[in-house]
Amino acid sequence: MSKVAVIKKGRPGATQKKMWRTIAYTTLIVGSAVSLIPFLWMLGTSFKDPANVFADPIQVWPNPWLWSNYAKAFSKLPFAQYTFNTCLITAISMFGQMISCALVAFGFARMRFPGRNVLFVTLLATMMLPAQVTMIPVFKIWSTLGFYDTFVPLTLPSFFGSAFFIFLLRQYYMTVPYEMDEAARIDGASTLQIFYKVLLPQIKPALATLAIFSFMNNWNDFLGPLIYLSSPAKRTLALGLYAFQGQYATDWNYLMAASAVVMMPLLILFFCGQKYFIQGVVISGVKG
Amino acid sequence: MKPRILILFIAALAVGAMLLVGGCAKRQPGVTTIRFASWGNDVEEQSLRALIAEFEKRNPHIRVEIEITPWARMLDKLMISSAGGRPPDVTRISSEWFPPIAAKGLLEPLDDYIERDNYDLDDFYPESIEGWGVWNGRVLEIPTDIDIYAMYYNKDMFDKYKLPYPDETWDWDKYLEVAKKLTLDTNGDGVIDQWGTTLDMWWQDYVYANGGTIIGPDPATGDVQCTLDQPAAYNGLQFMADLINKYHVSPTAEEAANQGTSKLFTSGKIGMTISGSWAAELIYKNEITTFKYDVAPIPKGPKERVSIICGAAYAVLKRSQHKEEAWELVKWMTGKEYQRAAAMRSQIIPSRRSVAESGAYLGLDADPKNRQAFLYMIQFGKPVPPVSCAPEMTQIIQSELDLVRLGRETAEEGCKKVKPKVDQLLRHRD
Repeated sequence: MSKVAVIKKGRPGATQKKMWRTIAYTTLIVGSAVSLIPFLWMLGTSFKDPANVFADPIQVWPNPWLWSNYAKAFSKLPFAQYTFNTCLITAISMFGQMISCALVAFGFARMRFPGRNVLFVTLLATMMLPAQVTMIPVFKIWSTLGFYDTFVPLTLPSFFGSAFFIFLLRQYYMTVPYEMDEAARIDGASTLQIFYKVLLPQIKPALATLAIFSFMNNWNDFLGPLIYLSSPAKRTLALGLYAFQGQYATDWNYLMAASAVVMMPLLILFFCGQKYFIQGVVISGVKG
Repeated sequence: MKPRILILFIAALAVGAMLLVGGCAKRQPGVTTIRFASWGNDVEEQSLRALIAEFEKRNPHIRVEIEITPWARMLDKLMISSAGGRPPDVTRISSEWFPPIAAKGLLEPLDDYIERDNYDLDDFYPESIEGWGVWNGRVLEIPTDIDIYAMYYNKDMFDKYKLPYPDETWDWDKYLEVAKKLTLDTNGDGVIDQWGTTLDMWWQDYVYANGGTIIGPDPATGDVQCTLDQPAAYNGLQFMADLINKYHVSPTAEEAANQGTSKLFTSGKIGMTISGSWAAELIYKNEITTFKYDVAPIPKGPKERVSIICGAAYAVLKRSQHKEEAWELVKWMTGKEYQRAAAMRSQIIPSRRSVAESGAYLGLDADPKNRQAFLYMIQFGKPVPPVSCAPEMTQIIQSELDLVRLGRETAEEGCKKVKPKVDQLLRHRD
């Protein structure tokens, strides 16, 4: 899908083409190596002895190589419980966002009603509002409703859509020819039937994009769990990682070992769904 | 129609399940539940739970819900939950958060409770009560642990060069003299690879030791202003920078970059380092394996002997609905049993004199042996300046002083540059 853009003028000879390609690939390899350094550094640190974390000269290859960091990091905290909590929150939110956003975006793309554009712009405007501004009022609402220390504030809002995803899906719906709706309607389909029988299968790639973004946001969310959860049994992975960071000392090797494992699902997901992820950025012009 | 119904059904089920999980909190008649917030690693958390269990056993009418938050984000959580109207009933507070929290009026004054119950506040080190317990003349927190600084030194290195160990007779001159003797190029390659000392994590101590102050009243208006532009203040800071740039007895940022100065000390390349009482337990216990070390009082500056003093405390939140029960818990958490346990578990210095001077702390069988030096330093403890904007102020000054430490400007230039910024911050504090 993604090929290196090669700028050509006239009819270049084979050597010239080869030269361009060499330059392009070298640049790409150097670029990706640079952006991979933090990740490799994290992996390296996760196997190091604490004494070598900040060793001088910098130790690239851990020596001694300590697999035990992983075992220790995981025995220090109840990671099974944290993983279960994170998976539960992520799965419910992902599901909620998929159904609510698909439905709302369908309305914006296909229904004609007065005030639609005003509504749509209002929706987009909510994207401009930083989460920090609404954090305290929203916290107040949830705690008044009695949902402090439950997963509700972290999951229920996703059943009410999210501006960015609605925008993304609406753009995708617009690319589906309107004739498909008309054909279905002639065959006697209701509006909702058109939605899930005709359009939903068409926007699957966009839904996949949404799923990946949503998974990432929920999996990595730190502030939400921090302010809404208090019982240790309800902690999420992102919150659990902070336990390695103390007031005066940080267990870098354990922190990095745990981080590496927590990152794994994201990494796998990105490798499998890279196509959709990049597509999402291209369609919406917005990075999630 | 089937898929739609299925989808809605699953959604309803999921939401319903969550409501159910949230809804079933245990309620027993005659038992008051209070919420207690703290931070801590796994070891501290276990010990905290044991102590709370003991408290519940002794006070069967009180049930305590424990909320553990990572230290790094505890202040955020406390501020957000307070603003959102749902703070805990009792919280542990780190001394550096005290000014902003106290200034916002989030804490219940405890004077009446103390008087009524005849609580033995006299047993506490006054430096801790005054440092992070009292705000505008009222007691808002009961301090529980103390973090104090002293000078750790590498005994083997002193023995090797036949130098006397540091003691309370030392002043800055003696300190510098010995530091110079320990700063050497041990392998003869023309590059210094052993240093006499290193800068500590603070800069405030150098100001105070030289008789300076960070903030003080404006003689004309009486308003609080930055006083770092006074010679006593910046000359103290100049001594700090000179340790690196003029005398070269402390590694430069570049020399320490890859390892951090703490690591240079634990790997035996630094003779003396001023560090916290916490360092022995959290760092040195695991990292110092090749030499013997001990602590001594911090050398006296031209005017004063100074250590920065920090710590933690317990407080009752003003919005608590169960203040009596909360106060009971504060009393327990600042009591002798708690402090004895903390000292024996992780060498934490108790804020109660009676516990600190008992075998529970002084009699610990762990390095450093001369832990009396920490208790001796408490009387010279200087806390965080009591202004609500203390964290921001420290940050502004800190970043300017980085340039001073690098030798890019003198302490006088740095302090004169930073004064207007700090003054502006002080004028607009809430």
